[in-house]
Amino acid sequence: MSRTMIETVGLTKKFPADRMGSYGASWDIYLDGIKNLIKDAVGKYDDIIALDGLNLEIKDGEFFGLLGPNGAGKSTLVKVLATLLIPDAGYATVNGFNVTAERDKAKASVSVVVSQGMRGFDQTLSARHNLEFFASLYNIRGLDAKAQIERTLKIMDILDVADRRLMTLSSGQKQRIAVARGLIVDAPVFLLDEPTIKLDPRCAADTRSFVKEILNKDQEKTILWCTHMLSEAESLCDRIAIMSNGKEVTCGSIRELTRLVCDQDVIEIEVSRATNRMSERLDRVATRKRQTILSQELKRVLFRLHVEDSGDALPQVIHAVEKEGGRVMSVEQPKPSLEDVYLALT
Amino acid sequence: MPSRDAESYDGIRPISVKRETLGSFIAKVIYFFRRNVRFVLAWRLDLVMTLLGVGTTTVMWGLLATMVGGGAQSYLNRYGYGGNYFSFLIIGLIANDYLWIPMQRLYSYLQSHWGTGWLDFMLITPSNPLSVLLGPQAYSFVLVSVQATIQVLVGYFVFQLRFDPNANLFALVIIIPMSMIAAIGWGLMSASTFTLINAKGGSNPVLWFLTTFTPLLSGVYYTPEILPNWVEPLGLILPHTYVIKGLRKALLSGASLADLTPEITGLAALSLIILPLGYMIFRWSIDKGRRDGTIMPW
Repeated sequence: MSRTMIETVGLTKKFPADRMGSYGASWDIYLDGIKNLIKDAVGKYDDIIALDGLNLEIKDGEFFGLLGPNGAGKSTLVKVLATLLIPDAGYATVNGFNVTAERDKAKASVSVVVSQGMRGFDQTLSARHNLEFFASLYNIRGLDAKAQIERTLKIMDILDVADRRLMTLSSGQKQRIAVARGLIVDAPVFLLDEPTIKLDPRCAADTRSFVKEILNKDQEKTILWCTHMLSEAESLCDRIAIMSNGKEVTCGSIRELTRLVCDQDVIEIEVSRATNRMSERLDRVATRKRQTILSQELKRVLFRLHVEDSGDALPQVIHAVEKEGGRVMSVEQPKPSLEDVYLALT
Repeated sequence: MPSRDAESYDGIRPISVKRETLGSFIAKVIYFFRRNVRFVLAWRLDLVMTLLGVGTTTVMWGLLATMVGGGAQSYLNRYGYGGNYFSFLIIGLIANDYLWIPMQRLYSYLQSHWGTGWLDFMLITPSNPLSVLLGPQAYSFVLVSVQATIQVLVGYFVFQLRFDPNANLFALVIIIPMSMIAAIGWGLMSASTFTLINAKGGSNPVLWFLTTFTPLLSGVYYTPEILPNWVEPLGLILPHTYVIKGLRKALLSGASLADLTPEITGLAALSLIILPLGYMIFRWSIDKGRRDGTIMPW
């Protein structure tokens, strides 16, 4: 059985509501700060619950996706695993090391890539100089550092741009350099927090392919990929956990997750001359409905309906459309997708 | 709560955790320095303009000293400083510049780099937070030393900057490192406010206290002896008070180490109190930042 690389048990993290303070210099702000200081001293941070008893287990070499809406707690989890936050309750381990009690070993086991991939980098310096600097922070120096950086640049296929200033590189190349930082220490776990969110489609595809093929398959790194892009998670991940309000809603492979909503059928019906009354009628037939306007002029709308039994529901749906003067253009009964799971559970 | 060694538990993938040693700390300081030099070389003109500014400011101080020096001389003689007012002033200004590196720049470094993600990525490395905060200041020391050289050269060749022929240069080797220890203590307290009370706007109460009272109490521009008797003891909590007085006595009057005993012992006592206190508060601030999430902006 493969090893557990990331484990969280009852992981809880609370924040004061105004933890960032105001970005100004005023005695009033300092007074608020002093209030928070007192809260810290008496251990009373209970304004925002970012993680609420989260339990997760990620195996060695897994490509694990973490899905959830904004504020679900994905980034907070990444920060706890990266040892940047101390949990209030429960515990988390990375590579078997407790992130609080064995912070140094846990730190050396993870590499973090965030959506603003160049965080911590100096844009006026070359990739090589930046990586030399980060190697020194990991207490790797001299020939060890040089050899490790050379190896990393080679793996990342960025040797040819290694001596150019970061500011002259493309977003995709920069993202590779951000990942290279983690390879210097050969961290077995990579935490990627929405790494493609600010990239153009080509760079995003390159990054996805690189992380999947090189980091995960070739280098056998364990990947925790946080995203709210369902297609991304669907195409990349071995298993997915869906989070909401700091809790894990569900977890499993795509197949396992779609089975969760398999008890419901999906009908996709494209109609023209759609009306509000038609939409209301369809609401009565479906347990859940999503509509996409295809043409405003022709009033063409694609309805995606979740129904208990499509055999019973389909005649009712067609009847509702025709009764309201609409015309059925096409009907399909697709299998539930990750999107359906996500919508059903969050 | 699992707690085990990488070697003793076969469920762990091997990692190389290299602990920070004095050697790796020095290597880090060198890397920080090289990083700063590379940065400065990318913006050379800025450096030239800064150094030009130091030269013109020194001329300004020289002209001011020429104008008021006559009146100040009687005070210098009365309190046993020796030399002339311009020499007296330049020593105060240079010492002040050195002391402000740790006292002010530890906080301002946090403040200016927090938003860029520098701090969070430093904290996920095995480096000690203290070493990643002190390391970048090496360049500032070199820069201030270059500035001090310009001030001394301009002062010597253009104005009446003169040291005692028997100036005690050895005293500098004792006083300056000790002064840095106390200044780092104050600097750590100032930097701690960044997360302790969310002072992220460019100033903080500790820095406010230091910038407001240091010029008044420590005697950068005048002899502290002219302060009212009840005010003068307040300056004892500032390293400037001992350093500036000690350096002036050593350089302008050729005072021996024995003559400098009050300044050296005062500085040692202050360092023994302020540095551990500053370090404790700094550790508290980092832990608080990790608890309440104020340490990173994302």
